[in-house]
Amino acid sequence: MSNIDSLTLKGCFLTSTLKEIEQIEALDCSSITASPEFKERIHSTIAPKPTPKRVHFPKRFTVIFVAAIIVSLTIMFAASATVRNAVVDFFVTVYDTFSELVITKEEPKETETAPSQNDIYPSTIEVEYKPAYIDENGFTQLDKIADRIHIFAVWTNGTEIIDMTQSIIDANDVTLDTESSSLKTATIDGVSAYYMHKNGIYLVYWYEHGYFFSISCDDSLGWEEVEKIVSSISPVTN
Amino acid sequence: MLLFYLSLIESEDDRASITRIYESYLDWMLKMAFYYLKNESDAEDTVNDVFLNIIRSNTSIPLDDERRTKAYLFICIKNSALKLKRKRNKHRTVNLNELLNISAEYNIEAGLIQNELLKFIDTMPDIYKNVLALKIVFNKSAKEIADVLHLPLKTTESRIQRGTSLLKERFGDIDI
Repeated sequence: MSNIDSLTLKGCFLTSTLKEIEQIEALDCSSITASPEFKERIHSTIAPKPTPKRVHFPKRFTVIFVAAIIVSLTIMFAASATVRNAVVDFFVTVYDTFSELVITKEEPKETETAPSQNDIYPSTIEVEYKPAYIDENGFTQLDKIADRIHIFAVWTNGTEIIDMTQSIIDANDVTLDTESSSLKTATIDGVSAYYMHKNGIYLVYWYEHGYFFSISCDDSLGWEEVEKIVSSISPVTN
Repeated sequence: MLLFYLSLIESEDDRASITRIYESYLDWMLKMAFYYLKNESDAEDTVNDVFLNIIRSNTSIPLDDERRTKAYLFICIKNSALKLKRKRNKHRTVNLNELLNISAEYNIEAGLIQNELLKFIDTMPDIYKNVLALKIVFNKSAKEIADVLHLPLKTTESRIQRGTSLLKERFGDIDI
């Protein structure tokens, strides 16, 4: 048990931030002042203006569309000769300012065919995956947290940050802030995925190897690199 | 798009706060942004982005205490500047040891815990430090932090959760 109360914590975070400010203030940047053009630019942003006529959208449930976009993995693995015993579906519901992505699992039915690898939905993390891209492109692990049903890891190459979550299929319900953005679909190396691009970050969600994966990374990497990251998912070998 | 942002400044109080920041801190904000970007044009873009994010997020800005105001604006500027810098310096690399300092072990002795906490926060990666500072010092919610730092909500929540875990791993049960 620590002796740190909330006031001490607040004080330390504030002190640390102020220390950074003091260090920068001590540097000689006296020549940096706002130019008249820049002042005008900011002023036009914040100056009171007649309020434009606002478009009133009905509240939360004005659904742009409520789509049960079923990315049936039955279709995904249609090329396989194996009889599919179970289906995993993504359901996407789009609201005014957010979208909800739910992954559901239909329990395997009794068949005479033995289940294939893709029919197996572990209830705990049995195999850890990570993008081979990480090692091939000089990324180093910055952070990792794992429990029985999730693995969250962060990597950086010093400039870009990639984080990935691997979790079991059950009970995955992701709410995404899709205001001024939208959830799109893509097929990456044969795998169906949902992705969005917002605030300089790509977010990608997909199902593979019996697990649910999500990746977020800086868009400075570019979408092609994001595709490489997703398609390079492979088991971690010690 | 600008009209959309302007339409979000709904009250006179909010406009007064923004105007006060503009009048009192514009040069200071530019200087902070310039420190990270070393380029006046990029610094101006960053400050402009920060203004737009503040307006759009519609969250209150602490103006009662200059130190707190500066701390709040600084976190916003640093976040935007570093984001832009990552885009500009796509191929630049930095010494990862600086980022990984967080795992360094400290010896905690009675009475020194506050200093150790400060040291720990000083070396914390910015991705965690920025969101935690806004949450802890300014009592901002994950949604407000996501809006003002222009980050996806899910990413913001993960960073808060992980930053909190790091503090708890090191210092035990902290009330955040």
